[in-house]
Amino acid sequence: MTPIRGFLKGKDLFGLIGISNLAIIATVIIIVAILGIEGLRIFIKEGVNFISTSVWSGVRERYGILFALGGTLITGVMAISIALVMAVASSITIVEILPRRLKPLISSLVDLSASIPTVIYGLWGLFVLAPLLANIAENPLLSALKSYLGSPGSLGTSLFTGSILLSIMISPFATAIVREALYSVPKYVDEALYSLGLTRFEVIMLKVRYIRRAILVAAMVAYGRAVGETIAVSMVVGNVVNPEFWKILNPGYTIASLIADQYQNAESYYYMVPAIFGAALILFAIGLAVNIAVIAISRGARYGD
Amino acid sequence: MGVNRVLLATIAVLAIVVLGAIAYTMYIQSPKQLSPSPATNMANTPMETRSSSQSSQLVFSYGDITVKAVLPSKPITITGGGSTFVNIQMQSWIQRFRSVSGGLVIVNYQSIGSGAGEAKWFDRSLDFGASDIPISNTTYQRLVASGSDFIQIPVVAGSISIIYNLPSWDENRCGPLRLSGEVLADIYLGKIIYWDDNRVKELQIEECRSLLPHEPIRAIHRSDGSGTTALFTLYLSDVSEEWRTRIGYGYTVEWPRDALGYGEGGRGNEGVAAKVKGTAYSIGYVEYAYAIVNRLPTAAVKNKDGNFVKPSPETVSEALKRGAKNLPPPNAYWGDVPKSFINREGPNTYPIAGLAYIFIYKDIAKDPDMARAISVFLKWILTEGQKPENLVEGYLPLPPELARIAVKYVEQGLGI
Repeated sequence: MTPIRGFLKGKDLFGLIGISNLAIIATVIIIVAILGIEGLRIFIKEGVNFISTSVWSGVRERYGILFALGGTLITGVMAISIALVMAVASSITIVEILPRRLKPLISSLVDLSASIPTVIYGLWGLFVLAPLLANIAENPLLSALKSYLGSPGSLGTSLFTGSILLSIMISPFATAIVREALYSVPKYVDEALYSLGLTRFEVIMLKVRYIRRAILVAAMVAYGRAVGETIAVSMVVGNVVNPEFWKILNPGYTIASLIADQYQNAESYYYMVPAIFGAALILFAIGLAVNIAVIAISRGARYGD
Repeated sequence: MGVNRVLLATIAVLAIVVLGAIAYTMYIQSPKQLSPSPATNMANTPMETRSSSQSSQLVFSYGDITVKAVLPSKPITITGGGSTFVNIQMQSWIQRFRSVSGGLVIVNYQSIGSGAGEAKWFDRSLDFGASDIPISNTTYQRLVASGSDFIQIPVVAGSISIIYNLPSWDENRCGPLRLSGEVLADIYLGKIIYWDDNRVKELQIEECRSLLPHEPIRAIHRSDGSGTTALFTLYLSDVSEEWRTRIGYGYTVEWPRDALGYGEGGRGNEGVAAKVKGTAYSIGYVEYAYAIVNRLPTAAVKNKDGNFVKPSPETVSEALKRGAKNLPPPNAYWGDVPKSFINREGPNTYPIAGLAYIFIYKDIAKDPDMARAISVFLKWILTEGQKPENLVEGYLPLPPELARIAVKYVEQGLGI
């Protein structure tokens, strides 16, 4: 036995894992505590108005982040919906359809797109995607739908563009999870399904059903990434306090981009630093709620089978 | 047993990390009473030191000002921070000043934002704070309450350029687009929607009015908090009663035009400039330096005398000279100082002019070497530093009238 082999096994290993875990948990608790302590003043001052009104004014010391909360939820949900469709479709293509020799090439290309720095996505979004979407989607939609989704003459930077850019950015992450799940479906399931005389399409659909919990996990991972993404979204979302945040073809804000925009001179205003910490706490709470929901759903799915 | 020792060591390291994190968070919670932290980049401190008895005297001049300064007897590092606007100029000054002081005075400047600069100076984490606006009322009250005497001085001037993207405009024939403060305020308030609005038209010369299209004006503003927005909205508050009562001025304000869908935010000067460049029929406002360096089409703004003037070192200097006359004492509340440079009279005065300010505590002079170091640095940037060869392109000098007062405040405040 070399010393290295003897190192870390059995109970020792568990002890180490336990302590590392505690350190992580302690860090999270400290972060939440700081957010709460620093943000306390704004919750006392604004109360429920902090999340039910749309105003961000250092001059009047009034802060309500409904507009950013709405923008975060809308872009997050839209981005996940689009990204999941793309992730499932590209996973099926890679696992089931592509010839064997092309598979590694295409999957590594998809993985590579996850490692592009987000600021590059942002630049591309601002200079390529936003004008493109304005011409092919936003302005036609606006003229068709009148003013339900926004004001005419879109510049392309909007919550809608932010959602599309986000979905492109997060789909490689979702794809990686869905793809591996699809690979892990046991061979005998395939064989059994084909032996029943099902068509290829039917088999694929059944396999997707089979891995639906993995898809849920993919959604959760993608959501985590979408909701925290700051710089790229900030570049295309328009950065406007938009009380009518459901008008997704208008510019808006997300909580992350609001924080990035406002922290620099926040200390000049008495309540702006607490407001920023309060917004961060809300962002954290959303993440927690989604995680709990996903865990609950996946448990339900397991027992419901 | 060897394994357990390794485990014990690992636990100890992790415990230290966790305790360190807790200690750090407690540290940032507690107000800082300690003296300023020593310099971060000791690597830059020169190895050779002069004999401590020798105190070399320097003479600086600017316009008709001549000022003497004394170098410290040992190497001193000054840490300052704040305004992002002054950052590029400050770094250039610091670099040139290093050779002026023979490496004896090293200045570090951190571009952390005006608000943070004021706050970190107030809690004495910085030797000097730099900000785009004078000390705020809240901080001033706390300074008075704590009995700490301080001085604030202007260091460099800035201005705002109104930039536009109007494809149908023929600048060769019509000159720059003409705008007035009232019209700008009503555009950003959302009361003037189209380019061919009569109030925009009547500002232009007769034969060019037809070049204004029936297109909505896209008004771009800063989305991040900035001194640029503070100066621009201060001007709008000065010229428009409605702007003053409804919006006010500050680093971040509300933008009523956004709600109509004709307004939008951009991050930083570069974000606003990129949006104006990329959006036909738009206007925006950026730091003068940024517009100059990037050669953006800049509007002429109507001044108090009714003339249309573009920003330039001369036209901004006209405004600063007039404002210099009523500069309050260095330790007074300077809340009204920025207003005294806005919309000043004079045929060739650009109506939007502002200053960046530096704050220092008087008791920093308790250490004679520190007093000498700060004094020689500030005197140099207020005199030699204002000369064109020491200014970064786009930054505007303080007129000698203003620089003289600032030098006097430094000498009185530090006693050297």
